[in-house]
Amino acid sequence: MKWLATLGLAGTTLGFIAIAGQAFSGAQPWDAELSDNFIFAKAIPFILGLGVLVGALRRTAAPTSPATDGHVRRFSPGTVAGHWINAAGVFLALGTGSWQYLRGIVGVDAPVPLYLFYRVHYIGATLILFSAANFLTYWALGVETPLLVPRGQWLRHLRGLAHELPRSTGTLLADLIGLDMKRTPPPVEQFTYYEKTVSFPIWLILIALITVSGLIKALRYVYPVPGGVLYWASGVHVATMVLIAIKLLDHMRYVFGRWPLLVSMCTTWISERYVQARHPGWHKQLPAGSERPAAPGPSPAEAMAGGSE
Amino acid sequence: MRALTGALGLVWAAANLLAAWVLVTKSFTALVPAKEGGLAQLLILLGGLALAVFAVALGWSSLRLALGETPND
Repeated sequence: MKWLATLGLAGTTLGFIAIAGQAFSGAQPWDAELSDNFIFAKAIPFILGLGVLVGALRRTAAPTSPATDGHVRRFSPGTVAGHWINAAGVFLALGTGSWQYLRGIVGVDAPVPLYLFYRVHYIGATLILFSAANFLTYWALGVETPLLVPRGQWLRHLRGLAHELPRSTGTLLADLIGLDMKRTPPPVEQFTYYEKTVSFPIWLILIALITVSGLIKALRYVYPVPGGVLYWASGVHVATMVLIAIKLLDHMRYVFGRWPLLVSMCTTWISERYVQARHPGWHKQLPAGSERPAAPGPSPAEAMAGGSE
Repeated sequence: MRALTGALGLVWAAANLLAAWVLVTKSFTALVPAKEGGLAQLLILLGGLALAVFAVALGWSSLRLALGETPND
């Protein structure tokens, strides 16, 4: 695998050098904004390729310990890194994209040049594209999909969701699709039913929409895109941006109310006591305490939570 | 760490409330949405309202986190 990584990194580096060589040669009649547009559009294949490479290499990494005394690993270190790279991209792209849209509505200009907004927007988009390619490759090469609802399990998951939602909303959902709420709710596994049936599918759809519409918009700098297609791509891009802003608020609200889940997305670890109480289905699948390696000292989760978990 | 996270959440919620206010108040008065037509104006209004609802929900969640009212387990 080392040769593949070397080859991929060399190809990516050469690609970026070639793009920079053209953009900064002094021979192009581009202003700062147009130059950024061209650099971003031409870099896209290399960004996606790098994401695919990293996703494939993550699959070859040695498995990490699933649990130690008192703590359980909820995410791999690669997943945590990928999540925060994507999050940084979303914050940068959303902040600059929102400003661009809102300033058009209210009719004001920022005290900094416009091209800087686009530059930061493209940096955010680069991080999102890299993450999308990274995660899609990682999932495609694996067999386990704990965030996806397995085939034939949707009703069971929706019943779990109805029990997790506030009583009135859960009852409404149960009435709408005919769920038997008198049955014992299915035990929560590694991810909550809300995460699996609502949150993750919505994120997937929104990231796909913003990525594809953004790619079409960027494509016009290297290929003649018809005006009608561009119009619809721009409309979808803006509408998806608003939906992502809403979903991000919901995502933050959800994890802020479940602090150990947020900690696990920073440290990879979650306390076993929390898993036992809130994720009993997952707890049953964990190896027994005697089969686990000894704890390697205080976990990062303890450090972040001030030892309170 | 919880207090800092909660404070950052409050800032983010406030920024989104401001954006929601712009979308709601300008959806039927600003020139740009008017050029796009009634459907676009309605979508901007609905988007702004939804943004406001979720920003308030995040604000409440962040406040509880900052004040240490979120349970550990």
